[in-house]
Amino acid sequence: MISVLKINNLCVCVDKSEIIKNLSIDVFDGQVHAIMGPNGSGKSSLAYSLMGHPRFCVKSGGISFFNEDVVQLSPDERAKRGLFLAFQYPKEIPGATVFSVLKESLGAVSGKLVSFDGFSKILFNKMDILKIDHSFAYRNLNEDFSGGEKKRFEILQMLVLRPRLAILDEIDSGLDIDSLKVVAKGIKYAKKENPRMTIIIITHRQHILRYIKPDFVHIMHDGTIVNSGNFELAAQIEKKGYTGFIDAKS
Amino acid sequence: MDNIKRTSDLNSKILYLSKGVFVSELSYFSSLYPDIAKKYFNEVAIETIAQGMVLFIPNNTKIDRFINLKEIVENFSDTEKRLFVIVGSFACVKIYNFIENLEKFIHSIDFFVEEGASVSFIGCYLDFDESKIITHDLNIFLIEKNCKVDCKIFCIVDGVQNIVFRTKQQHLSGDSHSNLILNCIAFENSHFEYEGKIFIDKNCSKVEAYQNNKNIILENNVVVNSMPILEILSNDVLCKHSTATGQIDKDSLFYLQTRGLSEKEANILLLENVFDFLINSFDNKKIKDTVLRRVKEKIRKIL
Amino acid sequence: MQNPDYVFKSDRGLNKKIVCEISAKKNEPGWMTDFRLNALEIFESMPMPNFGPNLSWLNTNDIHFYVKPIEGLKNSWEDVPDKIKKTFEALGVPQAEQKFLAGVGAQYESEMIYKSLQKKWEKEGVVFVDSTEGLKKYPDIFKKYFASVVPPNDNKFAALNSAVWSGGNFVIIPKGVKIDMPLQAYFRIDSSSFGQFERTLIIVEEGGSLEYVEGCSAQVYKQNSLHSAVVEIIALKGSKIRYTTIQNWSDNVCNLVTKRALARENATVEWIDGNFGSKITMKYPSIILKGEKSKGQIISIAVAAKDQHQDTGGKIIHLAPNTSSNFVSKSISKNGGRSSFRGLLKVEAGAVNVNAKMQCDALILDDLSRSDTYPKVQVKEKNVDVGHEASVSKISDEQLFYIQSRGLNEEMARAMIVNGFIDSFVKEIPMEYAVEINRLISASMEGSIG
Repeated sequence: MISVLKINNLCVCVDKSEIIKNLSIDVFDGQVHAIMGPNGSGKSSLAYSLMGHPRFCVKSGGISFFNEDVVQLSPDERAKRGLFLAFQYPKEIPGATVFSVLKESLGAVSGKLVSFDGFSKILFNKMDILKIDHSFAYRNLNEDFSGGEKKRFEILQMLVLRPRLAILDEIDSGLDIDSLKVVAKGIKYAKKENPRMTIIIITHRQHILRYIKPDFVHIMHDGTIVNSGNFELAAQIEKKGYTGFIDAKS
Repeated sequence: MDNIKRTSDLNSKILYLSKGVFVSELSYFSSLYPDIAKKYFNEVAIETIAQGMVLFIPNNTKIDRFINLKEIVENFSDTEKRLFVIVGSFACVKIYNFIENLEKFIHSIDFFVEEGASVSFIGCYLDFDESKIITHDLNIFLIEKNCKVDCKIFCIVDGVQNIVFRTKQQHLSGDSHSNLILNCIAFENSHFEYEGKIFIDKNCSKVEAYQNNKNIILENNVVVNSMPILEILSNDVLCKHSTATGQIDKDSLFYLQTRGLSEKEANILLLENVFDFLINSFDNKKIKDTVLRRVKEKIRKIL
Repeated sequence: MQNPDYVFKSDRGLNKKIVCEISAKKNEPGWMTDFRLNALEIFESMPMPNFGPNLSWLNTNDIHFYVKPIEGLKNSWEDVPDKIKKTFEALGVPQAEQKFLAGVGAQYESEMIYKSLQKKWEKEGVVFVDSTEGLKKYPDIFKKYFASVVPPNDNKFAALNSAVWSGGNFVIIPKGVKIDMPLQAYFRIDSSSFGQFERTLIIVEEGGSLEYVEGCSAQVYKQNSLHSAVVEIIALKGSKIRYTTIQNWSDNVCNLVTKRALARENATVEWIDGNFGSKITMKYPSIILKGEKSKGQIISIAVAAKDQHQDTGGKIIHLAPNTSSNFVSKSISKNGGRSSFRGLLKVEAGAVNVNAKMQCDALILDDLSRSDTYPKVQVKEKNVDVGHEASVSKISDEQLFYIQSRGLNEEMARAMIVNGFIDSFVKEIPMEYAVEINRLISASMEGSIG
């Protein structure tokens, strides 16, 4: 078992308030972990901290990615090492098309020059899997996309960039049943193509977990993990809500 | 406003409101508090600004009710005034100026806002019968960091006046926030000019400054000029302004009419939109009613 | 093309004698000589503009006001600053072109292209000649329209140009003729690129259509520091003209230009204006919408880097009903540069049912730089929809983070965002320029070009 992500007693601050408090977790290759918790528990902050957002300062503790300490690395350096974050609220990039951004990204992340034709093939192939019309390739990334479309494009990026660890932040929020199915299909496809790919799904409802079954489920509250278990834990949260599990620990 | 206690000095040089807030003539103020006066007014200014008045809000003072500028100016001598509002650090104040005529008209208001302070200003300038060119200046100096200023201004301009309205939002430190909305309804033969400046000094990071101006022209022979200016010397800021001039949106009129409103009713409803933003900030029913009534009167005249 | 009979350079400074000499060298008719002398008087009597960058250092006594074009080409390659040479390398400009742009090459391959195009156009009745030749060969039409849109008393530098103008192009697109490829001003070796006081007059007759491109994105090294051109466009009924300028003069140049177009009924005028170079630019391309249903569009970008002050913008004046206009300006200030936007949107009484929008966005990349916006919206008519919006900000941290999380390093991410920012301009210019502009921006983000 190869250690993909090891977080040790991590404490992170944003604008002088502590947002992640003494959080530890071990993730090994090929595993699917779900991080659940009520709103405000710090789930997205954890995702941002793992990806290296400049506003999030690591006060103490460590983050290792494949046994390499990444705390000092910039977001692009982390991306080049195989880390990927599907954003909860993807940014609009006016003037930059889906095609151009992804082609540059793939070149940067893979370290290889991609030809125009070669890349077109890859992109359209992945777009077909996600049932995205090819014309979208020439639209400005995320500009005037609906919430559901933005989420689909995050998964499209994941399929193109083929990361070793994908963190999916609330990928299911704002999606109707059909879009959710398409997104789940995309994630399953990625896993099938690369069984060693590791996934962390952040969600506060367990709906998506019916499609992507996690090996481990963690509950976050107030910046730290208060409970861990297997898939059964998710089913229990569905029945009883979070309060039972949070009180048990605190 | 009625609940604010006031006592006045013998010669009406100073008027005490509650919680240490007072209004006084500028010359008298500088004799009482020479150090503070030196900070904001240099010596030459005091002599030339003979008609100046100071509204002083001490540090850490929070006033819940709106202060009515017209009422406090009443206590002073009968000339056109220039008002300086000094808002001490971490103070919080709401002020409004409701003008229906030129009696004791304050033609220029300067705000000096200190650290952590927050100011809300509402200006309502309804038309009046005198035919003049009226210039009104509103200068806001956000001197220290973490202060916040919100201004809402509404003007009605009718044939007999020319109004020149100038505002300045000057950010001199970081982490400050200012927002100014100025809307105007212009009737026949009127002339309205608005010049609004936002200035952000060097080394002022995390400043947010907004300015929005909307001018509705209801009749013919109107001139509306607007000049929103930005001068930005820092980069970690977010600054936006907009100005729009025209008539009531025809599509919206049509939509309301398809919902049963007469053309007149639809017009009035849409015009109310132009000053709703301001009315809703008042907790004074009398003022709200006065503004609404006046605008409706004017509109009925033409529709 | 002009055949210079001998090399001539006027003495330094400006006076009646020099103006007369210029007129004599060109064998101009009396009315033009009088026009020049009158303009000289106006120039001397007018004060410097009371707005914009500081021009007090400009000393007209120190300038050669007339240099025969070939003379201007006699620089030696060794004299061209390294900085300029590096730019050419970075942008992939071919060797021969490099020399031409640096004012060194006397011949340029495009001369061949130019000759064959000229034959094709002559057949259609298109006129594309040097301004002096235009005056000589088409005196009536020239006199009819010359200075009709920009009179000498318009501003001090229009007066200067009116007194000493030389070079520039005279273009007539006849009725119904549509030119399907952009007319590049730099096909003509001895004109715009090296002129200081070009005067261009373009007449697009009824139903005609023209796309005219001037300048180039590679930095052009000019010996002369004052560039004061005038461009007048008359767009007759139903015609269409798009005038694109990409200016990247070297950083010793003071670029003060007056550009104005008059649009008649149903005509469409578009100014696509890119300002990348020069130390000081003052340029406000204008459109007068005189005819009903005419349309105007201005897309302008300005990049102000170290020691640069770009004072740019435009004016759109609605004189007739049912006219519409759209004005988009984007500016970038970095390394201490200053970018000022000056825009005028005017609707005169009687111009009913006008729709006009003006938008100005500015990006300040660091704390040393400055951005100003001075728009004026003047409305004298109620039945209109006129609006203006502006914003000033820096590159958003969130956007940077998002792109970096996709593997692009900070510099590349910034370049992507900045290129995206000016996309509305780049979309409108011919492809070759677009590619060069994008490369220019990316290179300047890396700091290798200022």
